[in-house]
Amino acid sequence: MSDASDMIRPNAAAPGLTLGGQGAVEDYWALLKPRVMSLVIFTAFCGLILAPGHIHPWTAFVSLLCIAVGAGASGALNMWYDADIDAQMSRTAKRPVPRGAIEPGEALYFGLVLSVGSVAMLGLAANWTAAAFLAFTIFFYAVVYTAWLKRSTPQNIVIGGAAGAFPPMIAWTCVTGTIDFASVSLFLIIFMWTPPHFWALALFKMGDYETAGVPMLPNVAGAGATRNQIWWYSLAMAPVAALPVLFGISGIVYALAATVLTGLFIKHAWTVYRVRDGKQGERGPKVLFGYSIIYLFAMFGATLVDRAAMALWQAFA
Amino acid sequence: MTTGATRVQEIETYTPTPEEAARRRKRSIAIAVILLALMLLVFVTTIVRLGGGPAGA
Repeated sequence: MSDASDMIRPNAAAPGLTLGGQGAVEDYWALLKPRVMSLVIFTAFCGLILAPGHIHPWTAFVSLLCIAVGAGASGALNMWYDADIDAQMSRTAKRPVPRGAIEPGEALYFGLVLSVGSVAMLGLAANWTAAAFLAFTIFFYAVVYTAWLKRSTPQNIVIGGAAGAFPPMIAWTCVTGTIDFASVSLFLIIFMWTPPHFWALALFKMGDYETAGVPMLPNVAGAGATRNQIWWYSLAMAPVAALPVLFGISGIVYALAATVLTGLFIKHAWTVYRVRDGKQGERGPKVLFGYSIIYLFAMFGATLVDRAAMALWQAFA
Repeated sequence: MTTGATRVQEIETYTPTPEEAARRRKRSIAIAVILLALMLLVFVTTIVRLGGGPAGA
């Protein structure tokens, strides 16, 4: 005998019979992965500022909003597809879908509606090249990374990381209407940063990924090989950090900041590489993971400070 | 076993708990705010695009 309240309350015994739409506003907000979105907004904002040319402030605002909503839509689609493995990992078990606050179908349609809406609005407000780029990014994250790579290869975040690296390029395209080589330098900073960032996390969340059956590098190749990869990728990041200067979109202020910030990143990666056992061996990846988040914000922040410094210099010179 | 018609009737006569009612009210307000913001967004964007300023370049 079914109870009507079972049909409309979240966490109903028979999920197929629930009507959905019963989650709190906070649950729908959580579907957008707001912390990831904040990074997307910030890096996209930097792309808007650094791109040559002018954009109306309102168009800039709407472009940022669309890129943020598009990123949020990708997050919702990811949470719909990954609900089964999210439920098995401590880090993700409290997400709205595995918690039962939001029906899987709701997350899917929520993500699809936001995807279409953000792409259409970006096309109307900025240009259709940027809109197509945003659509491709959502597809790349939801289909290429989430549905294909994540469960099939330990290189998942190496390739999938591209989705998180596109936002400053999309913002750049909102201003210029084209995809320029110079904007690729912003893409590459995030692209090269992603593997050491996620592998540091995967090192101290190995158990979670093992339980969920996600083939992260530490689970497939071992912790030692992952520490080696973190070190080599961090070294490879160093020349990439210099690209904005080589492409002429940033100057001396950025160069100084990038040198110090990347130097510290390499120092933390060296600790992860060298100290593998004991308390220090466990602590290294956590320190690197925490610093990597600060690093990316600071690197893109440095491009803004550099641009402001250049404007001041030109005003008074 | 309940029939489809009985289920519909049960849903229609179901009284939400105070917690469910509060959640529903917050959702309704959020949807209203988002719809108003969307209207404003499209309206201002149209004005800006028609203005032929840098945005239309």
